[in-house]
Amino acid sequence: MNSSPEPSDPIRLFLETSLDAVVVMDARGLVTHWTQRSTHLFHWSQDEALGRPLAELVVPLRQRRIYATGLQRFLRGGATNLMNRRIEVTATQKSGAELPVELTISPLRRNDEWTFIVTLRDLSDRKRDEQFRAQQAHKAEILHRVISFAGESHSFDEALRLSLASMQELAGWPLGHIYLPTESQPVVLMPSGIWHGSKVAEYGTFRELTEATYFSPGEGLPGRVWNSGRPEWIADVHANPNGPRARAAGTGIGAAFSLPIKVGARIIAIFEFFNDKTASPDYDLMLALQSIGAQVGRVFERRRAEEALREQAKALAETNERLEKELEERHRVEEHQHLLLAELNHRVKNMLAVVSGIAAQTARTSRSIAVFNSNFMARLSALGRAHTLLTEGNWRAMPLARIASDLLGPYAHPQTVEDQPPPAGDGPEPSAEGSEPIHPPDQIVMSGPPVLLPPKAALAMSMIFHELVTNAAKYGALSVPTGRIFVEWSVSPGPERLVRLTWRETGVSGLVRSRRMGFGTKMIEASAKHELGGNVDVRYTPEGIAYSLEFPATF
Amino acid sequence: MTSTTMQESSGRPFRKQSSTAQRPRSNPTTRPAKLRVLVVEDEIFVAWHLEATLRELNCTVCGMVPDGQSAIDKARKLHADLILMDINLQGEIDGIEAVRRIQETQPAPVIFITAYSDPTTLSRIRKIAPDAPVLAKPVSLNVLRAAVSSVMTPSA
Repeated sequence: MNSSPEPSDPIRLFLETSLDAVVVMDARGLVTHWTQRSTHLFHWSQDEALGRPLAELVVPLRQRRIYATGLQRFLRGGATNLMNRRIEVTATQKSGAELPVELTISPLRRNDEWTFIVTLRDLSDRKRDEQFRAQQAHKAEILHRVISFAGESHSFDEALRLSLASMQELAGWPLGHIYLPTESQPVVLMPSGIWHGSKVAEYGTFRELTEATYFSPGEGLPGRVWNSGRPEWIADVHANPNGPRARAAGTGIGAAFSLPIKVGARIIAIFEFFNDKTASPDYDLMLALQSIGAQVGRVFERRRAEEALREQAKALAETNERLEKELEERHRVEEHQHLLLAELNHRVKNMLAVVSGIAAQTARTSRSIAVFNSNFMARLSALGRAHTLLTEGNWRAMPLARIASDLLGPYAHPQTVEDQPPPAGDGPEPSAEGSEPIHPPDQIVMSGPPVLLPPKAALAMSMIFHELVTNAAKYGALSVPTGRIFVEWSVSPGPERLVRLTWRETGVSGLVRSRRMGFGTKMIEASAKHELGGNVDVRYTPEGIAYSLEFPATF
Repeated sequence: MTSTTMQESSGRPFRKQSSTAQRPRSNPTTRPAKLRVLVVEDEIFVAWHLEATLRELNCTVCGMVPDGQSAIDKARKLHADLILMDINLQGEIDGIEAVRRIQETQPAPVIFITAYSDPTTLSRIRKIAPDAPVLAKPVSLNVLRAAVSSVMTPSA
């Protein structure tokens, strides 16, 4: 049975030329035929194999009981899964190394004896191919996932975290972490605090150490990767002189692997993975992770470009919006200026018309140029004070008390003749003589509730007060030290609210109508009627004179 | 020079207003009666000044009112030969609106006197009184004379 195959024995010729290892064994499980292919596969020679139990030659120790039980069950006529089927099992070589095989046991019954043809097909190549294909598929799936995560994540940190998780899954190592370079120069690599792994909680000491460790270029594993720009693998961290963290006692780290994530030529992150055991470099894994790292870098680069575009678009939109607002504001200001100028133009023209009217009327009632000059200037002064008052109040409604105080104030305090406003009316020419003290401060007493007058009515009232007080200064209560003026006003209740203002002069007797009826009185009566929509009544009393004005409180 | 252009010079820059042909009025050539003018102006000094100026032009001021509603009432009552109308008046009715309402029932020649000379105001005036002179404040004697002459003289 150990002789070479002969052409006359086709069965033996078939057994010897089979690509699979073919073994013949008897009912006791002893090898009766051992082909050269069997020697090639299991490294047992024919001499060593013949007569020995097949189980001792190729069945792993842990499976021999199952194998023996199955064989005995078959010989006793029982059912077994071992016979006449292809089974993928693990077989052992002479060295003890294991290899995957497809096992087929075909029983033959000859002369009441059982003989078994055992075929063992080496599946190592197929298994390697399958494993390779699975790894490739896994890698592709991881790559797709990483790129999707990196592209869809809402922040750079989130993209890094998801990328680390996926790459850590592909590496199968228990711990992963990321170092980030500082933006400032010189560059410092700082721990990101981004961790991932199946046993993160078990590496507390190492994590604490890492999160307190900053590296300069060239220092430690991240520093080496920063300098080289390539992946770095440390098979045994305890034998590595440039590994300050992992070499520390009690960290539980055996091997480390790190790779850069680049955007163009710039390293934006350094991923590092740790194993609790020492591990020789796995170049396939390195290549796979490097490939994924490159893809992640491109995604980040694209995202950075997109973000830059978005930022530019946003900045452009903001600039446009700002410009539009500025333009709108400028138009608004120009329009406002235009309106102001138009209003100013109107008021100036109107004021010129009023001044022309005052001049004309004053001229008609003045006996000389000096009188005209004095009276005209006094009226212009009163008009000017009223305008100042209204401008200070932003040309809104003006309190009657404020108007009265402003126009009558200068007469209510001790003054000299020079300080007084020039007299108005049809009186004599102003005196050029020196000053003389006059009148106590309480000569004018004012009282009344708050009443607001619109600008036009305020102007009219100002001119009325001016005429009244200048007349009083020349002929009435203010012309004698004992004279007093009571200015009192009230507002009547009811829907037709009327302002009733009384100007009462006392302490001055002998006033006669003929002396008071001049331009001033005419103006007071006309203004009350024409501009205030009211009327005025003048009464002469033994003590002096009283004007009663009545006009609507609403205009 | 159009009929509604602001005019500072003397002469006859204005065409006669068409509305005047439809109503009886004083004729200075055959009847020496003075022109009766209604002055609508809310500034008393300006109103007095206009009154004095009109007197110098041999006109009589038959009424002097400060607001639009009074102007409408007076115009219907007085049948004035001419209305001198300020635009920015007291009350809710301005001079342009007052003229529009007066012309509906009592057409009379109108001269607008205003400090407003913006396009919107002028456009409103042209819609209701296309031939009415618009004089800028303050108004001089010569300008007023020319305007009165323009609106009161029959067109050729």
